Amino acid sequence: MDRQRKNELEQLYQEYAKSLYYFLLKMSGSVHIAEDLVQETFVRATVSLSFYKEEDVRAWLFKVARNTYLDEWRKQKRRRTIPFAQLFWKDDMLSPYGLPEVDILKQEVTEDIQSLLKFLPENYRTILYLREYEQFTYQELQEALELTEGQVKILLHRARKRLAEIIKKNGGFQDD
Amino acid sequence: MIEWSQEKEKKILQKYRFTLTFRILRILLLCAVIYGLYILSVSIIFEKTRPDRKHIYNSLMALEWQQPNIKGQYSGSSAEITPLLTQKFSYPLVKQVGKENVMVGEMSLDKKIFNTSSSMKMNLTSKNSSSSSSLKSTNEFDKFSFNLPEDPRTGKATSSQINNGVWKTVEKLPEGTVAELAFSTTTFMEPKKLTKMLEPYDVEVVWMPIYTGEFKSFDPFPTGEGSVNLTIYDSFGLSGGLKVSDDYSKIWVGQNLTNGVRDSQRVMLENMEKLLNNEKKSYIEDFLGLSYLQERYDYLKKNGFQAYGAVVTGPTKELLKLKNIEGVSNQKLGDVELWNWDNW
Repeated sequence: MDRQRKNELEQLYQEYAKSLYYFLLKMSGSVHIAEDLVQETFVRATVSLSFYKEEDVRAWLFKVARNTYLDEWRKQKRRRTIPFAQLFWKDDMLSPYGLPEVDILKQEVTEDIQSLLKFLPENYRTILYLREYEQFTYQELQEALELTEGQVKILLHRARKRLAEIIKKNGGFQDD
Repeated sequence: MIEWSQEKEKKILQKYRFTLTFRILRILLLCAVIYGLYILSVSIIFEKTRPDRKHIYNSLMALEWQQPNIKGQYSGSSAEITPLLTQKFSYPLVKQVGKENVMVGEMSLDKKIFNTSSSMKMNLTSKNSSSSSSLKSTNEFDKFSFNLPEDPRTGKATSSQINNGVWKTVEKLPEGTVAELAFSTTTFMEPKKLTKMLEPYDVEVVWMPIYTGEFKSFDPFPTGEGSVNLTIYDSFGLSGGLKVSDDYSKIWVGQNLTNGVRDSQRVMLENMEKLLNNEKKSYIEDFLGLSYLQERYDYLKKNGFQAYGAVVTGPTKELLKLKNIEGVSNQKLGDVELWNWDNW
């Protein structure tokens, strides 16, 4: 890789590091893991640069980040089967299945939607976060999640509906 | 700290650079280790099995069949094996002139995985010729050629030419020199009969062209067909013969052709049969450069050996006496050397 290309890449990473960090923080639920996943996303993006096909850069980076998060989750799941592994890896990661809904009642009544996202499965969490917080267009969502337009619409609809149910269960946003 | 900061950004990018460099180095190291292990295992397996011995033996055999009075001198050293499993080896080529072997060049062999890309190349550096040639195209350098006494297609006798120029040259060669001389015969002769014919002279027969069914069983290539004579350039010949142990670890060079012609014939047929039974056609034709081996073998097996010339060597004054033998034609003079007084 020539120096100019390398500098261009690093500039690109600098530009997206913050949003990727918050996305991965929301996905993993851990600051340390989110930091590690951001740098891992950059490494993977650099290595798989040859597979990058003139897509939207932001969508592509988020796609890589999401896959990195899912791979990390699988890795952690495998580690849990090793005795005493928890002594070395203390950070607990948020599961792609989300927190159990029974825990919603234990959650303080909140009007912060972000804090309720963790009760959603990973695909709902991702699509809602990218749409609502990163302002992804439908086209970008299609590229990042590798879905068709119809699938994006359906998934978004279901995610919103599910989030609404969670908010209702939590008791937030109630009209006095 | 959950919040994003410049410090965090710097830390992530530094970690990214480090991880990327580390992974690239790890992959390079892994490749080097895999390559090292691969080379090591290839070398161990190669040294244990020594597949090169078979190829070397077969190449020596092919050389003796096709090249009049040229033999390979194999010392037993191992071939070089490359990462692509190509076996490379070479051995010196010698000619017998008088009683001595004279170095005439080198044979280089490249046995690749695929026979079609494997090759045998002769690099001749003798006084008369300095050229590089593959065994498949044998007329590119100064090689003895022999005239068929009759056209097998018509049964008509070809013209026998007495090349008086050669005899004049031999006449002028001083006593104390030895030479190699090739000649054709005006009739097909049993090798034994030919050696008997030469018995009264102090010369040694080192090679005889053998009729192997050319024009009858197959069309040879290339041939030299003039208006009066018929020459086959890829002819086969009888030499002392080679034998090998079952594991190809020991090679026995055949006896003197003058004394053991019947043995040489038997050994030649055995070697041909072994090649045909154990090797693929591409190995025989593309690597060893032996064309129509099956047809030649079948013909010899059915019709026996018929020679139509010989390469002889000995003192020049003794060679000159051959001029008086009836039926000797198309003679050609080869290398001339000084008589080795110590060993004669």
